[in-house]
Amino acid sequence: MPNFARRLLGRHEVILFGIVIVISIVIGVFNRAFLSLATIFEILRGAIPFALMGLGILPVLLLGEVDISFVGVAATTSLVAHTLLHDMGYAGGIGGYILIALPLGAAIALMVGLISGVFRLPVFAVSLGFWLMLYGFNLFFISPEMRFDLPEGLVGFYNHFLIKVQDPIVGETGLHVAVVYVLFAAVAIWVVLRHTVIGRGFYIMGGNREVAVRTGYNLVKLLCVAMAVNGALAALAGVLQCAYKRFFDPILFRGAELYVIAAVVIGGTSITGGRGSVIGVLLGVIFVQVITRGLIYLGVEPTWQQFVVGCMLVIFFILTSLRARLLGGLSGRSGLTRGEGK
Amino acid sequence: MATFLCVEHISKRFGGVIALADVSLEIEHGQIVGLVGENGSGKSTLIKILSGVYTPDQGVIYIKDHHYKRLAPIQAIREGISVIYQDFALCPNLSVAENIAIARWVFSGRRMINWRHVYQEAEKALRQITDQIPLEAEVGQLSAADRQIVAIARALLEQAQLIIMDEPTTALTEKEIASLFTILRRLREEGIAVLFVSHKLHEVKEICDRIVVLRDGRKVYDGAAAEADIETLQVYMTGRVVEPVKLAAHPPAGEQLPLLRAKELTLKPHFSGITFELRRNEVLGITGLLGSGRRELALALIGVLRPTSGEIEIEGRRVKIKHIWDAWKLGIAYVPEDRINEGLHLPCPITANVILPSLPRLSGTLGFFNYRAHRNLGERWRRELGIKAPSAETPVRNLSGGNQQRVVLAKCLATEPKILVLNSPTMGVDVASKAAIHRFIRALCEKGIGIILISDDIPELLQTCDRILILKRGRIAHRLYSHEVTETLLHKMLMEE
Amino acid sequence: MYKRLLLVALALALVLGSLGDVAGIAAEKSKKLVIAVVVKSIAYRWFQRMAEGVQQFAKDYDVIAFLQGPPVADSAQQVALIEQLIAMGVDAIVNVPYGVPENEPAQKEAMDNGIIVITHEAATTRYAHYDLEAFDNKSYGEEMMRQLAARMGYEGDYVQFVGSFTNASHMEWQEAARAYQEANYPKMKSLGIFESKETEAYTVMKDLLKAYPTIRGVLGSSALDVVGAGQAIQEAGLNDQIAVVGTSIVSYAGELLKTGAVDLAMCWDPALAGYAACVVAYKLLMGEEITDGMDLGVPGYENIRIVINEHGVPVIYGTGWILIDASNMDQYNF
Repeated sequence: MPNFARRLLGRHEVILFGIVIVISIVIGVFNRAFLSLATIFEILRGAIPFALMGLGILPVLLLGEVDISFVGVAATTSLVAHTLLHDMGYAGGIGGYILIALPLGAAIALMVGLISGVFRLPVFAVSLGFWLMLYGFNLFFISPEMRFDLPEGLVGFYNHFLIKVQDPIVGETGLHVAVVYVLFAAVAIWVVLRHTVIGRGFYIMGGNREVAVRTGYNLVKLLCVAMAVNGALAALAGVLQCAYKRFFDPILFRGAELYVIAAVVIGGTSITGGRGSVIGVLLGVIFVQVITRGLIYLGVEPTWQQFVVGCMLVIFFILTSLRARLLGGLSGRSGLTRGEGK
Repeated sequence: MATFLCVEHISKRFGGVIALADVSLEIEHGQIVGLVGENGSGKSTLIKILSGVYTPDQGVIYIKDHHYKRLAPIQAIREGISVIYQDFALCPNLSVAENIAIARWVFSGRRMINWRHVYQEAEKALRQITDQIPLEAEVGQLSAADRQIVAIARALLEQAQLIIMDEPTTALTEKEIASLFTILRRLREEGIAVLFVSHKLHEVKEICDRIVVLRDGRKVYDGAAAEADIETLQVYMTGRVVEPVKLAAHPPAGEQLPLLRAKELTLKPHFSGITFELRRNEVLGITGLLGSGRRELALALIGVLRPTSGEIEIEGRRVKIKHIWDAWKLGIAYVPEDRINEGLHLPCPITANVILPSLPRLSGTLGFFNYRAHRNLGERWRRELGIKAPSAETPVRNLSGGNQQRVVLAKCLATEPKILVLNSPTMGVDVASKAAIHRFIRALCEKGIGIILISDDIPELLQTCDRILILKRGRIAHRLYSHEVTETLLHKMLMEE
Repeated sequence: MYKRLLLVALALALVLGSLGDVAGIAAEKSKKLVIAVVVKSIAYRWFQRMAEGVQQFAKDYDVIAFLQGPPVADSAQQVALIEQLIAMGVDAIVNVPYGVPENEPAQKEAMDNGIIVITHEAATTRYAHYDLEAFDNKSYGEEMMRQLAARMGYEGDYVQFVGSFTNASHMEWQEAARAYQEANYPKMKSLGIFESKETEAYTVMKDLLKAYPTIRGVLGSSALDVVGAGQAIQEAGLNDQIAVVGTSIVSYAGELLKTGAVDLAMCWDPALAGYAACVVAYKLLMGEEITDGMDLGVPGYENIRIVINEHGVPVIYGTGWILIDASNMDQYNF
């Protein structure tokens, strides 16, 4: 049993989950409103686009690469989908947007993957270029203005709830239907990463590139798969966010890439590859949502909020490092050398 | 016994350099063949040819009844040739089971992974050789010895008929080497051949059935291990007779003030109650198994670790060593075991490396330093230590392991130390360089320097040290005069619990 | 790819087409005064609205006046346009610079060539005969507060939004508004200035509603602040309980103005600003003087105030804000 407990505590995700709960309760003590169903649903709602982008970036990070172009992909694909559909006189719902944006997002990100794979460049370098290109494209070729002209079918999307709750203050709210997309993506990514040969390839490539190549994996191929998934999920995040906010934004998510990558890293994903899990990503995203939004409930002076969030992140990383050292010291080395020194 | 692999008249050149010249070799099923040779003798080239990484310029490779002019890596694997490199080629972030079994799943062309099968297969392969490593453990958390076993298990699962091990004992302690040898003998019983590539002759002689010696790309010796003695093999390897260092045993002078005295040094959990003296003109050996605290003790003497209690006296004066700079000032120099990471700046020339720790002493007023003025210093040490390099301005990166080790030594000696702490100074160094380093250690000690030598190389300890301390679980278990013990006795004392 | 080519062609056509216009105008030059208005980018509806004002001015004053701008907001292209206008020898240039310092050399060159230069939205410029601003930030902030306070019944808690803490204008508005409230409406209380990061007002407002159930008013700065806040308030069914006042325009906040979620959108009409700037240029060309308290004959610029900025350029401030609510929103199609 203590062994089981140790293994449980050894899981980064378990600790993170505990921290999220503790922080939530602390905020709840200061402001009861935070622990209402409406707030929980609202935080989940706010986490949706970040969770999708986080899940998308996960395979890329597992490979040991860093991409930041995904936010640009989200902005461009949603805006292009809207422009095309608007010109066609489309009046339907989110389906048409997804149908255009998803393949387009996958294609653009695939291009980033191919360029870095073929020319042996770090994805980060190529994605910097694409980040600029995509936002530049939006501003120059499509529209430098926000577009509020939603088709009829999309207008009511923001309040499509799975479960409705009646909150005394904010009125009718609920669990937004888009969490289904996140769940679907999370399960799909989890199955791929855990149970398919190609999914394990991301971990092997991130753990030891030479082993992966010797085992028969192709880096360029893996990179392309990872980037295509990344682009598709970013596009989905973009469309959902625009539909939810009720305007299409040429600079959608600009700057949010840092929050996404921070959330994923908080979830236990290694920036140098080989480590990371779907659950970790989801928890990391929720963690960031809780601390960034919880500060409003705590009544922290708004000009201080970024500073406080930054401090909390640094403290969090120090704590996890300390825990890793502590556990490392407790469990020590296993196997043949285990008996030594006792 | 049937022949598994046979290479005939293999040659390989790179540009103008002949790496292998007309080498023939035969390996039988269930045979452990030792492949020895100094750095640059062609060992690695031969390994790479056998595993299909290089194509030979001339010669034929026969594996069972197939013959190959050129062997592709994938064919080598299909034929059952498996190489375990020094880094073991494992994924540190994955579990033991996955590291063992996953390659087979990828090769099988499947898309989905059946984890139950992965665990079953991994278990089967791993339990053939050990039952002490848990399958779920993360490989990055394992010791080097355990990782090596995982790599062997993987080779077994890939139906290896011949396992080529490149310097398999470098990162292992004596005890771990013993258990590795048990595993190798078990493999031999199952008919699996092993090509054991090493330059540690006593190990090769202990485990191998046959020994092949390469020198300058040519096979110079091939015979049964039982018939070869280490001195002869050494001559084949180096092409000359290497004189073992003869000890001039110094009976420690009783009245003389000890150079260094440690009293009840304690730093839990690494070591406790360590008391010893080091005299002038003395080499004191400190040995022990991995985890016995020998490394930590060395680090405590130079101020990297700080003991929680105890005293250190230098020439009768009580001192506090809080930082490595204190150690430099007190005249204690340290040569680390991991010379690449801890000791050398690879892209910099020899001179720069050598004078670095002496900078405070060599700098003029205001701390300015004139590099040119001190070039001759690097040159002096290059000559004195016989470092093989065109000039003292050669980047250290371009030197061989043995020569790099000499640069580390030079760097320490340039500070004109009174006490020199050496941690495994000949690890990964070829026989000739090793002998040179041993001679040099003795010569230094003649000059009046006190030397603490930390090593688990038993012949090395006996050849160079005057006295030997054996650490066990952080305490001194034995204090010996090296002329009183034999190799076997020392080995036994080291191993007993 | 085809679409992209098409877009490139389109962009080129726009630029070339506008130059063609200019050439045509040059032929007519001998007869009438020519006033050119250069803006950050003609792609924004904001400046398309300004063009309407400029056209109206041309008709009213019988001069040639036109509005030019690069297809995408870019100082370099804007400078190139100004240089072409100098070469053509127009009589006056009204410039709305994208990057204020980047445009200054071109403005100086124009002045050196005897061209009257008026700037707009560039109160800190070094080189111009006059700069014209619809209002000064302090007066605007105070006006916002007066409007909000009236709609809150002069009591209750309110929150303030800025697009970002680094936006100097937004911060000036909100600080002036708070100072004015503290001096005049003691029963009101600010809960703080919150950053909407331009597009996050909706999310922030949702949290604020939960965290501070006593909110009775919202004061927005960025054009999207009242939109996001209004959406959150509308969904909470609090349209009648919470007053929302702030900078915005009809094309952003139109729907919410209709439903009453946003009570008042404040802005300045670019058409009027463009018209007023042309009037200043015209008066200077006619040899008239611009004086403090003067009436430019344009709504919101009937009683102008002149302040000399730190570089010695006189800045004209109007009270050129307009108040848009459900009743008059049809008049402002931008």
